[in-house]
Amino acid sequence: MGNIVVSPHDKEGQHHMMATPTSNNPNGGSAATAKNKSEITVLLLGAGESGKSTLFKQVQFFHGVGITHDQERIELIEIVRLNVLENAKNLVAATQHLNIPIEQPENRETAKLIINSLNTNDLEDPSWSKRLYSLWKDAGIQKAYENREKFQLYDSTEYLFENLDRICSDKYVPTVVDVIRTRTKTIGITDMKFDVGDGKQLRLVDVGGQRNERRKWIHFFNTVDAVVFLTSLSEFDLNLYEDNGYWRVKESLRVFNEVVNNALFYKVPFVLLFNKRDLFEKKIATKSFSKYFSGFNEAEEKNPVACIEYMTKLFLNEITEHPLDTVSVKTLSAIDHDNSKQVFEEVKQFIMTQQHRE
Amino acid sequence: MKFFKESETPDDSSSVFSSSDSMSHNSVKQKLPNLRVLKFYQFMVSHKFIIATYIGVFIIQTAIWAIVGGIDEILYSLNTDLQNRKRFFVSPGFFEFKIGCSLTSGILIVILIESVFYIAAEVITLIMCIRSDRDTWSIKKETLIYVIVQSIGISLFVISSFIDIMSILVDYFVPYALFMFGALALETIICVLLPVCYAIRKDFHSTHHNPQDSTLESILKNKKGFKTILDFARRSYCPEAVLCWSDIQRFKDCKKREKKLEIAKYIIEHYLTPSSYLELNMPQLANVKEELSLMVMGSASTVSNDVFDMIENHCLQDLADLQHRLVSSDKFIASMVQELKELQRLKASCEEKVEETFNVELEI
Repeated sequence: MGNIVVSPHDKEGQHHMMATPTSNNPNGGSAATAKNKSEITVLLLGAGESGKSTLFKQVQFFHGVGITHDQERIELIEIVRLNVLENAKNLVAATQHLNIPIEQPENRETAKLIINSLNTNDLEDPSWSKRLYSLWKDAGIQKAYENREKFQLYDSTEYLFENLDRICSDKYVPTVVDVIRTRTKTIGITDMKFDVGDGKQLRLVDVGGQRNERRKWIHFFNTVDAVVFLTSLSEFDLNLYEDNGYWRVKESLRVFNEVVNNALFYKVPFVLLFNKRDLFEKKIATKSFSKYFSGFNEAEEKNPVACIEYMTKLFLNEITEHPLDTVSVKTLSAIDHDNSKQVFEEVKQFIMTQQHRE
Repeated sequence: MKFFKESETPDDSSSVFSSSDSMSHNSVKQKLPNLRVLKFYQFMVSHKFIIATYIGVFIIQTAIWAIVGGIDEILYSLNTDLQNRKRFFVSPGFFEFKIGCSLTSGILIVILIESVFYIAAEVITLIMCIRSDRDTWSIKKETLIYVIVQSIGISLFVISSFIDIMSILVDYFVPYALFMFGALALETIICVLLPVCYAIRKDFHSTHHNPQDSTLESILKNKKGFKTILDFARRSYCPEAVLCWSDIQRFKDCKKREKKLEIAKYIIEHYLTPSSYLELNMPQLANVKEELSLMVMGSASTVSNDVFDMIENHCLQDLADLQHRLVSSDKFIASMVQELKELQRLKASCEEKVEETFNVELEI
């Protein structure tokens, strides 16, 4: 596996964006696919925070590009620390919002500083590791954390707080796991290419998932050879980032419906990935799953397999146009390196066989 | 003509005045007992005064030339003694263009009287200049350098006129009056051309090294950096954050009230309206829009400069991911980021040293 390029798209893309934002890309796409059939374009789609970029980063990592190199990860120090700060800010804000007092006076001091003046450069100072950790362990903050479905918080929170002693040091270089755990909202569209054997190249396209970002997906719709749709299993108790009154599962189903039934994808292999299986299993152990799905048998709510089966049915019911034999459903835990590698390999095989059949 | 530039030296006080403009007039009077002096300074640096003085001096000079030369010419043509008639001021005559003019004792007297007047003005302004306690724009330094250049130029001119070989032979090929013109040309270079160069250099550096700016902001504020980032964002289908950031800068820089309001409306309409083409990726966009619309439309007076600060920060945060993608694909941006980091490190170590010295002093 040599030749891997991570790049924005060729210059042709830019005028379509400016001139006809909602029409299909007229020459960039079909002409290009006709010219080199050897390139397989795979789109990673899904609503916000479904794990598209996490999977994308994992694929980069096991192909030895991007974040594999120290130099590349050093560039991400600021982003990791920004994640720490945002998590801390959101938690502190939540204690106020939910009326849960922070218990220790010194932690209240820390909270004040976080809200008012703390910035990423301050986190070079190791003393912040202790202060932030003590805040994280505060009973008030922990109580807010237990109620995290009521506000917006990154999945990385616990991981980052547990690793503060490394992060708050002037010698800190993010590890691959740090980078994969860090939440960065993708804006726009980015892609990478790598060889998959048989003289073929796979071009993996990662996109932003929020509502405004979805309008940009259409630029790639007619060049696409396969779609991987991600949805988060653990979002059943969460509301949207873009609209805090809207249930994430409803949004995911809506987006899935629109994508899978799109006429441009009738003949395209389609993979549905239920992501964040790890988080999901932890979550249903403490939270009620059936509370959110009236059609689900309450007795089964602690059984992840039954829950996932139910979710699968829910999603597959949305398919009205797409031939079902070209749809594959899998579960994934994108933060787990080995699992990602295995699932992605399966997805790749599925896509390649579908291509062959064609 | 140093006279006019000297008057710019009290620039600090004039800015104090203009900034207090917005306070009520009475309170200003109480707070600043020397309001009159400030008003005087304000007037001295105003374009009105500078332009009026230039035009005034030009008119007086032209008038002296026309009146004195006219009288000279009339007396010359009225003189019936054709053999011995002579012009008192302009020796070959007013309308003689074939040969150059030469100094006569008459014109020398006029020049001397004028010189006394101008030299007096120069000395007065020079004293004012030396007494001024701040030299923000290096005008004091330039003036003193120019005084030296001017004295050398004049001395060389005067000395040359006493050396026969200079005034007769050399002057035939290279006029020694060039010493004077050389000094004048140097004035333009020292006091006009060089300051422009300093300003350009300073602007260039400040866009690179504003210490408050993050790396991303520094890139965006650099012309080539901005172009590169916008181009990359377009190709990655996310120009909205870059464009919004730049429109917010435009909004902040705009001084005219109506224009400012117009830009504010444009920003709200294009970036903060759900489903608009350049909609930002932002939570609760509809609420944000409503809130900001109220702040912009509701304010009877001028729109506050920091209305969009929150949006600006959001744009910068959104661009963090893009910046990372760009650094790994664009050499120019990569080198710029490297440079900025180097600078930050230098700055930090300098600050540390200053702190250390300060602490040592405290201990002593």
